[in-house]
Amino acid sequence: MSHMHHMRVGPVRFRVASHWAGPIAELRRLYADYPALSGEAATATARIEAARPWRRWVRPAVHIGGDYTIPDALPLPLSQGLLAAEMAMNLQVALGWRQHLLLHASSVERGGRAIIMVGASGSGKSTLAAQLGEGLGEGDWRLLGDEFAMLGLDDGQLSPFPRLISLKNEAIAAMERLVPAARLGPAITGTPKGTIRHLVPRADAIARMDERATPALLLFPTFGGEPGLRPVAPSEAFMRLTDSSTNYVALGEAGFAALTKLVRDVPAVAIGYASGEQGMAAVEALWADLRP
Amino acid sequence: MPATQQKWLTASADRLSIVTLDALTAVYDRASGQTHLLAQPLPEILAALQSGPANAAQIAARLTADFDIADSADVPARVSECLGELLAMGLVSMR
Amino acid sequence: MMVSNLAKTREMRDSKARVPNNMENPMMDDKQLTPESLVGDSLSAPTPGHSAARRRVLMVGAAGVAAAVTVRPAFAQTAASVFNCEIPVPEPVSSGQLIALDGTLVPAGTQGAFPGSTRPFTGEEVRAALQGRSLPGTTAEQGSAYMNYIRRLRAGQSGFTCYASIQVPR
Repeated sequence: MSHMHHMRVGPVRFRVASHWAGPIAELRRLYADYPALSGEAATATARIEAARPWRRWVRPAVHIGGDYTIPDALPLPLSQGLLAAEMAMNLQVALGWRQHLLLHASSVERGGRAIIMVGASGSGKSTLAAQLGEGLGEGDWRLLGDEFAMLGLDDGQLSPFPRLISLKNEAIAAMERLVPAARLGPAITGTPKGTIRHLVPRADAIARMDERATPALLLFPTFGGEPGLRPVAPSEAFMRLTDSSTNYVALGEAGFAALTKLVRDVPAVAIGYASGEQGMAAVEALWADLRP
Repeated sequence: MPATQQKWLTASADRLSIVTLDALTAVYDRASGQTHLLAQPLPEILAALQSGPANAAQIAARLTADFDIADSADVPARVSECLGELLAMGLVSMR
Repeated sequence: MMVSNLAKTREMRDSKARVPNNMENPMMDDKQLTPESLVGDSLSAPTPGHSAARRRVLMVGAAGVAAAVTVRPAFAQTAASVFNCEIPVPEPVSSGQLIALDGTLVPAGTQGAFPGSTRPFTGEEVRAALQGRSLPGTTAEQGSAYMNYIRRLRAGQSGFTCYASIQVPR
């Protein structure tokens, strides 16, 4: 394949190959500050490709693939090529990574300790983490990651995985006002999730991508949910996290040990909130209440 | 042997990893790779079988000796029912 | 209110979460030990003659109530959440056959069976159908036959991965 980019994000060394130049050019621009691979082999290969050679030019349809692929997935239009590349990268990690327990969660760190925010798409976890990571909260938060939280199997520490943050729909405008244009990807319209714009994490998140953190709080946020908070019992947190993990089953006993340790060691709280400010305020209040 | 005399035994101790979370207990079965969440009295029945195979009545007796049974149901019958659940999950087998 | 909620999660984790003897629990420090937690709450039987300790309570539960759940996580949940995958009914290799009410494939001409769908269904549409909505463009019976077909899909059949990746929220 003629177009390629490689870079490291936390523990994962990516190689992204493409039949089209455009998405690779965008990746190169947005991941410019990330470490390149200096001769080491990639640990995850993502590909965005045309099903037939002429489909590179005639009604181009971008198929997502790589070491791992989902056979029934529909292709995306070329206008969503960057999104396809990001999805292809997510897919390789989701299906292939075995070095950590993967949770579908965003995470932020402060003072060496981290909050893991778990929820389905639309729960607001990405936006909340992005806002805290931009310094909009009271404290000095560092973004660890948006899509995946990577939990160490032997020590339960979180390894940062600061990929581009997917901002969706209403969350985009707020960030557009705050960050320089160089940190924003193109506005991608007409996706299954509406309009998406990718945000490059702040410089500190990139520079410190190898600094791990100790989980200190499990948060289950629901944007637009009943305002307030309630504690979540370890067994409930455990069940919800098995649902949020793409590799819990594949990891076998190591996954079981890591997840039971997490829910026993770390308090879990569910919060409903109606605005970014409310969400951040709830997070700050919970953090203040944690034992040091 | 009549059903009530049927002896049960638990999966060997080195096959199961058992972790109490709260009111529920998580169990990982190394043989099947499955994870189960068990509520009372299932973990206690497994524990009662650690000291050797037993039939439902004997298990009920071990439980009654070790615990204060809060809901005074028909313990042996309830134990039989629970053994069925444990059998379906492969956590106990019949002697 | 905030304080009591976090304290409550601590309670939940400490009260029954007895750590096995060979493990250290970083959360258990001097400030946390309470009289209740000092009284053994482990799964192992109390030693004979230990009558001073409070006996633990056991709820055996009501007849007919299941006391276990086996963890069955959805397949590749993250990846699936951004994919708009599709499920053809039936898969292309079986396009000449009809779909019976129970979802099995039957020869063309079979009474009471339905022709396949002219277009594949998306993962989203099938997920909605699993939650009670109808498959678009189908009558109740036809939709039901299609859903039964989908439920019978096996690895290797077209649409299986898509179906396996649909998560039905609890």
